[in-house]
Amino acid sequence: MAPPGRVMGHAGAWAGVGEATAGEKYKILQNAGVTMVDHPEMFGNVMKSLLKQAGKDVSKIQQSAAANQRRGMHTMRQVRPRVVSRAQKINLSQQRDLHLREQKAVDHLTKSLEGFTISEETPQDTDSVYLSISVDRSNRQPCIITSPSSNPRKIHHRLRRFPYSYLEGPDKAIIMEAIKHLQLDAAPPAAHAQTAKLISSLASLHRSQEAVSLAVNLSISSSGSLHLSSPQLFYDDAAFKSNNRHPDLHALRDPSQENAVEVEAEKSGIVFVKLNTDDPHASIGTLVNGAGLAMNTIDALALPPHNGACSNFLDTGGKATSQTVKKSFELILSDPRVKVIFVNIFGGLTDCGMIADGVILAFKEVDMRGIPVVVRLRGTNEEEGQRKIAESGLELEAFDGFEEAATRVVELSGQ
Amino acid sequence: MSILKTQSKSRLVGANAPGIISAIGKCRIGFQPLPTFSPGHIGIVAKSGTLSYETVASITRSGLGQSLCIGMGGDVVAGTNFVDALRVFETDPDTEAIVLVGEVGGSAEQEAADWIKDYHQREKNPK
Repeated sequence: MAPPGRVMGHAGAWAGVGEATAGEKYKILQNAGVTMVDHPEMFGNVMKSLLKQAGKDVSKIQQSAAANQRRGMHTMRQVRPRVVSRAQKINLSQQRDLHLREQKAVDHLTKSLEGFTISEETPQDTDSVYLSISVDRSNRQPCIITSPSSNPRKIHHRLRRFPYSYLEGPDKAIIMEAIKHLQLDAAPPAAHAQTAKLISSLASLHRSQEAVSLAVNLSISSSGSLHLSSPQLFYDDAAFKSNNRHPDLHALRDPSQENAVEVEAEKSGIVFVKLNTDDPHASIGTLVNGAGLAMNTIDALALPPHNGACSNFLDTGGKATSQTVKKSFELILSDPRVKVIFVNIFGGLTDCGMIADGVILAFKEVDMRGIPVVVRLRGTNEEEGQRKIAESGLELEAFDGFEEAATRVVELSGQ
Repeated sequence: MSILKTQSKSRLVGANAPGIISAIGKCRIGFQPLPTFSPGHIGIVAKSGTLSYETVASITRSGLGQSLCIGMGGDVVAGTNFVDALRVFETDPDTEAIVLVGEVGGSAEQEAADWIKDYHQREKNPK
């Protein structure tokens, strides 16, 4: 559960306009007959019971799994179990990408587009429609998105996507289709032509500036002149960070407007997002490797039976070192709400031994303020990591399973 | 993407994913932690790398094992999505049951749900 408009670690981990939240996705899958779990730790046992229910001989499958050397063992095609799945909750947008809104967006768009009037606010006295150039993730292409209403409560179900070829840009036919959906029948032909020009220009901009989505509201006066408003321009910073492309554009980012801790975290390759900013009792600090596990940790703690609120999302990143771990503790502890820190690791690239070293380093060099730390280390080199933690003599509580760790974390959080 | 679509020999797995691994065929293309896996018949497709490892560990610990584990990845555009993976699992003789791990962003889960509904209707003994 994250602040709306934040990109949660993974470049694609944000709900775009018209896209379902994780909670909605959960229900959609459930309605399709899929068995859902809240934490991946549950998959094994749930799958076993599903297989049993489906009449499969579980011990036979287990034996086959144990004895299996090469393929071709099982060709039994009898009643089978269903798909088990898990969807995550967090929303997002900001962090580490460039979001231009309000006056900045107006200025930038005015500079980049020629011949259109743009204002910050959408006038309330005329009808306005919604138009954007974005990415159609399902079709793996850029797309025009139009909605005949720009009312934020209505856009979700009134929008339609019109994908087009990235290499060729939108052709006349698709632009016409997109405009048709705007239902601008009352507007004169010149306005339609101008709108087509607008779409074409925005699409070129989307490509040349490597944008994720460029959105505007559009209203047309009785004389047929176009007026753009409420621009929302979203750029991924990968091009800038990896290859210094579009430096002028990304110089528009104003870190002083962002959360200082999050900006600080970025310098160490850490993704940090402050959570539940309105809740003074969100007291669980989290330190996790991997954005997916980080999101899931927060979600699983928030759901029953735990019902615990976290103070932050933190993804150490795949290149984490012990210094990164120490830094993570500093960042988490800068939030006065924190009463317990949960280190939840399932290492793939991340070495549990390295994490253990980082935790020990943090205890040595960071003022932990007597805050309890619960550690769960699994994955690459887990035995070494667990051993180091046990032998450290530090006041840590170590767990192997997520559920038991989570229960203890919530106890310590005082929630 | 458009170039990939012109042929059928190669596919993109990911990006921003740990890769693809066959526990049964003992072949890894990626950086998944090997000790977690165990040959078996559960197919897995996940957007998150770490959550896929958690899934694999849970499946392994319960005495079941994995057939194929596909990383869909966390990027905006995925080379191989849930429906692509489900199509592979449907016809894979080594896969008897399927686990999907989703994430916020995009609508791959809805598409998977639609595919599953259709699959349940046309297949007498669905996995």
